[in-house]
Amino acid sequence: MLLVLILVPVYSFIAYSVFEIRQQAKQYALHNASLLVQAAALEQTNLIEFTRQQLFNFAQLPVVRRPAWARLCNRTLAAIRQKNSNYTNMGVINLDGTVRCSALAVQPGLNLADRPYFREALQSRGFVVGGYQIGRISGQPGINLATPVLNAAGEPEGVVFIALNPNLLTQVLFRTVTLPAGTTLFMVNQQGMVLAYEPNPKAWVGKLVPDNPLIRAILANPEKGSLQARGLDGVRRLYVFRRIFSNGPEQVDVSLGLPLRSIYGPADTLLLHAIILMLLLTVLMIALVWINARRLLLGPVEALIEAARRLGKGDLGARTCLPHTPDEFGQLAQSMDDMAEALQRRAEEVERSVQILEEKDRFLTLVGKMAKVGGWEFDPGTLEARWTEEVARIHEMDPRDPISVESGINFYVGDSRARIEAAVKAAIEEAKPYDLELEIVTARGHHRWVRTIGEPSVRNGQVVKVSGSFQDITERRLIEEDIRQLNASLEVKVEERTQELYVANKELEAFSYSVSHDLRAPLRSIDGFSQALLEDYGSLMNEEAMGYLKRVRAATQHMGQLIDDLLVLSRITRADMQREVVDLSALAQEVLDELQRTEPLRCIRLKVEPGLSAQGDAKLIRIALVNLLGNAWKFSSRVPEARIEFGARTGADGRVDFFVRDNGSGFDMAYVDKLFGAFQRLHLASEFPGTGIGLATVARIIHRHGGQVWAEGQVNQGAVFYFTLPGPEGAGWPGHMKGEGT
Amino acid sequence: MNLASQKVILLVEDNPDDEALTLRALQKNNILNEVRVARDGQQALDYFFGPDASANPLPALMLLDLKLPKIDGLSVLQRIRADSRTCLQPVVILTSSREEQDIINGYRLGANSYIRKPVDFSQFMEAIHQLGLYWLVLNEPAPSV
Repeated sequence: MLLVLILVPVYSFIAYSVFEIRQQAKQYALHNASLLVQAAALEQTNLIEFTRQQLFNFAQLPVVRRPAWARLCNRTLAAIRQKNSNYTNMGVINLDGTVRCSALAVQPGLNLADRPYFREALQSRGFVVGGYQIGRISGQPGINLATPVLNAAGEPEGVVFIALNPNLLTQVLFRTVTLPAGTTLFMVNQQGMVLAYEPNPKAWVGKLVPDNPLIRAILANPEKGSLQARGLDGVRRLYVFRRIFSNGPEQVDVSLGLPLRSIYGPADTLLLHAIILMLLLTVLMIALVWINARRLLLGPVEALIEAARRLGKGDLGARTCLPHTPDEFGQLAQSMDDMAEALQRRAEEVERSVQILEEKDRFLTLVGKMAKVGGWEFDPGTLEARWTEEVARIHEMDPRDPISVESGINFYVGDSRARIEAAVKAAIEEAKPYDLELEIVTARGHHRWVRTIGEPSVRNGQVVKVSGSFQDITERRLIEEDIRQLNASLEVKVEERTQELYVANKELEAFSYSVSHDLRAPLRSIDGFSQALLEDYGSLMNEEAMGYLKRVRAATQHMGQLIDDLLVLSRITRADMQREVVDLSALAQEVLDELQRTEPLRCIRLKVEPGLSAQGDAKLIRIALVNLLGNAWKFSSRVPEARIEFGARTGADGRVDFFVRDNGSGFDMAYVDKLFGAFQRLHLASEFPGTGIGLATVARIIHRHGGQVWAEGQVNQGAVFYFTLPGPEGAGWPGHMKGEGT
Repeated sequence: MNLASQKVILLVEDNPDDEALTLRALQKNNILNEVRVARDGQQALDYFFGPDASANPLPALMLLDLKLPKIDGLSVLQRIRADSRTCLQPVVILTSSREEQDIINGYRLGANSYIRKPVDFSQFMEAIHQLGLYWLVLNEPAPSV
């Protein structure tokens, strides 16, 4: 196909070229022939002109003019004719038409008076050209040219003539110009008589052939022309013709016939060569194609097929091994190799993916085994199910055994059976997921607790699959059971303890009540009656006795104070806390104001930082502040320029440390541990009165708020008591509002 | 003091020491009104509601201890407040307890005052002085119904 596509235009081009060459050859031949014919015509004209002059010259010759010199005339003319092959004959005609003299011998009695040229010459008294005719003297065709011989008076005395051989004209032309073989040159007159013919004049000259189509065509044409026709000899030629003579009805046409072979020969040869060449080329190309088809076509095709076959068999390493040239095969090979490459890459990716998947599967299986968890799924339509190895293992089944929803459900026992049936039904019908902990009996009869989670997949409003996880939670259940039992027993214990605590609390309350009532009553009696003694019998007692009684009274009153303080401490421990935001600054100011009222005359510098607040129980915090500020008040009483300050600083971790600072007697840091213990005192009662319960109370209150309390001090340099409380925003503090001891 | 002598003080006190000291404090403070003493809750109630109650004048002041044998002070107070005849009776709780609960319950049941007996006798004397002055002299009792 490709071959045809290539060859057809080539052949067409060659055919066209040959055609063009033929046309050009024809044109060229026509042109050449025309020139030749023209030359013939010109030669004819020249000949006639030359002959006219000759005739004129003859007419002046005495041998011509004098009738007496006829014999001499004959000899002279014969001599001239011998030198002039163009002249068929020449002679002088008397007025009566008899021949005076002639180059050729004249038959006796010959009269030429009827000849047109003779009559015309006499009549016109000038040069005339007669028509072509067969000479009566020469017996040969010729054209007679004549001019009258005039006497002194100008009267004609005779006519001198020359008969020209037309064949000579053609002969000369034919021989001087190199013409292709087979060329003919001929002349014909109006009658269709062949006047001249080359190369074989004898065969044709003088013959009348008016009916020959070629002759007819030539005669019919007025001036000149050309045509392709069969000549008189039957050979096809290209004929070029031209009228070279026309005198009245007389006319002469000359025609040159070039054989077609000579015109188209080269072109035809070229065509033949071209055809041969093309055939050769075609054969060669077919051969080449055939050979190359094996090499260029079949080879690659086989390579492609082989590669495709190997690829088809799964050998993804297969390649065409063809060069990736830009032609079809190269592209095909490249596409195929690219495809194979892509396939191989894909296959490698798939391989890797499979490896990863296998790895993941192995990992999942391992994890599943460790966690005793697996997966399952079933088709709600067919109720066909499948499960992972681990699920089978939990059921103590062979993982290869077939499984269905029904057989799966059959493992559940008791209450679990009804629950799983309901759950599966709801999952299928209402797409309801479930998460259940149920009991199964394995294939080997072991009771196990499992957690099964089911998740229906819905497509187009239809449950198409239910899948889920399955986990052996037996151990967990056992542990949970243990924990439950433990919890239950713990709850019982807690209940018992709570009860005990409640009882203890009640007892403590009763104790406190009784302390406040019953321990005080005797003290009141002791104090009261001691006073009564002093009042009523003071006069009977000496100073010493009254001193003792006073000591009794002081001791009872101190005891009363101790009891009161202990009761406060006890109440703090037991009291329910009311949590609220407490304005510490205001509270401190209030307490200090109260202290100031007890000793209005004491000069002391009091400083309260404004805007301090915290969360806590206002009453308890007040008790703490009363104790702290009271201590400061008390221990700074002997300092001339006493100062008490309540404030706050930013302490560790950004928390707020509140503090109460005084410049009083301070304390030795060695005993700082004892500060907050109940009944611990660092001073003599005679120095500073007190029960040693105040700071224990403070510590108890702060601890109940989840805060901390600590102190720094130096003997005679004052003390600072720090404490922390939950912030007013209630955040950022471990709010152990129910403190220890409750 | 003539006017005052007509007014009876009912002291409900089980502790003889306290009774003696209270009486001494009243006396020392020149409160010479007749003092009737009930030594437990029952006796206190009998004073108002007992068979011979009609003979007992309604006291101008009742000093009520809370911790009493048989019937405790708060129950006695409740009963007194519950009866239309005695509901307006001025009752001052005079006790050793400073338990919050006692104070709240005392007022809730209609106690007119709550006085804690101080250990210091001097302070006790002062308290009694002010009590007498207020309830027996300054206070205008409700007219008897």
